[in-house]
Amino acid sequence: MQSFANWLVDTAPSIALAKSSWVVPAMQTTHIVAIAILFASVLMVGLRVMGWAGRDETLGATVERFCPWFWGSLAILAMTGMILIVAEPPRQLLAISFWLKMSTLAIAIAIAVLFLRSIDRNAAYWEGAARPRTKVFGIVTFCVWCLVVFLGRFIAFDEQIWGRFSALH
Amino acid sequence: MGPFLCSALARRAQAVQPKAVSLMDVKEILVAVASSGLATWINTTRGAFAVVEALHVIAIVTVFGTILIVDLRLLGWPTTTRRLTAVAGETLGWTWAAFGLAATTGSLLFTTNPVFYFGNFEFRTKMVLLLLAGVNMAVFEFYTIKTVALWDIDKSPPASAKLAGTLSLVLWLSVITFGRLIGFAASAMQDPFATL
Repeated sequence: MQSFANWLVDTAPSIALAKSSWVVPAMQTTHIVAIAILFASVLMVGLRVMGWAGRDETLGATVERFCPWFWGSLAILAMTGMILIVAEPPRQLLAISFWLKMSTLAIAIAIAVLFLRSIDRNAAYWEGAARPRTKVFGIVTFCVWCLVVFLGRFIAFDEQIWGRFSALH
Repeated sequence: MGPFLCSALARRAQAVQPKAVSLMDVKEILVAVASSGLATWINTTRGAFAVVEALHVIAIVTVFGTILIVDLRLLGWPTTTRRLTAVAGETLGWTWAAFGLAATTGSLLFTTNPVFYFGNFEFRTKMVLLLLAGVNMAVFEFYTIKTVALWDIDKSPPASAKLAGTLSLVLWLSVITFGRLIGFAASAMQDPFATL
């Protein structure tokens, strides 16, 4: 990864992005706005699962309302995230926080996909009154996404957080 | 919140002793904040600043994400099929809770370098934008919402409501933008507004 980061940082796109004074702040800001959309979507669907919001409509209707926002913001996050990697390869690729974030993100997306499949197949189970298990599911999902945000912000503090375990040490 | 409190304190002091108060007093307060036990703890404890900042991000994304839902409903886009009062009712409680967390964590971040933040252009702009977002919300809550029964569902909201939604969107996007720029000014590596 060290050699890949070193190669990437010397490529023309990376040099061009690094030279720009506005690309990184603009991409980071867009990234945060997209996180807000994704996070609110997860929160509102989670609240509906727990029976704390949107009880005037079915869970299916709530999910349908937020799905385009969820996947749309995820696409924007992937794009702005990749631009940020190209702009600052070692800062991202050598950070432990970055790889922990990607792993946690994979888990979070897997949870979302399994959830969507499950409500398609077992609508009756999910549509009824919230059960303890579905409540735990809502809270765990929320916490996993919180962890993704935490690890994302930790990329900027990788050495401080992980000490000698950080490759940037 | 910090600078408002400081300027409020400074104004109060000014009322008592008009001649004796100057910018120096504000600076003394800022320096006192900087050397407080809280600031020292955040600045010297490994990972403390990062954790507070991450909590600040969680709070901000919750504030903006939930407010966006209400703003888009105010614009009547993409639909008006759910009651505005229902949409606002289930989201704005979370907005306020998250705003409380954002203000708390923001104040903690401010204590770590108050002299810098107080004089920083991006920080000051962000505070003004926050104030404007508050004014926009107050106008909406005290005037525009009064007629909500007429356009709560299945009707395009009136121009005043659409204006409130648009202003809210623009102001909060600007708050996030300037908030992020503070970090770049702090590292002083690349400050797009350094020349301003």
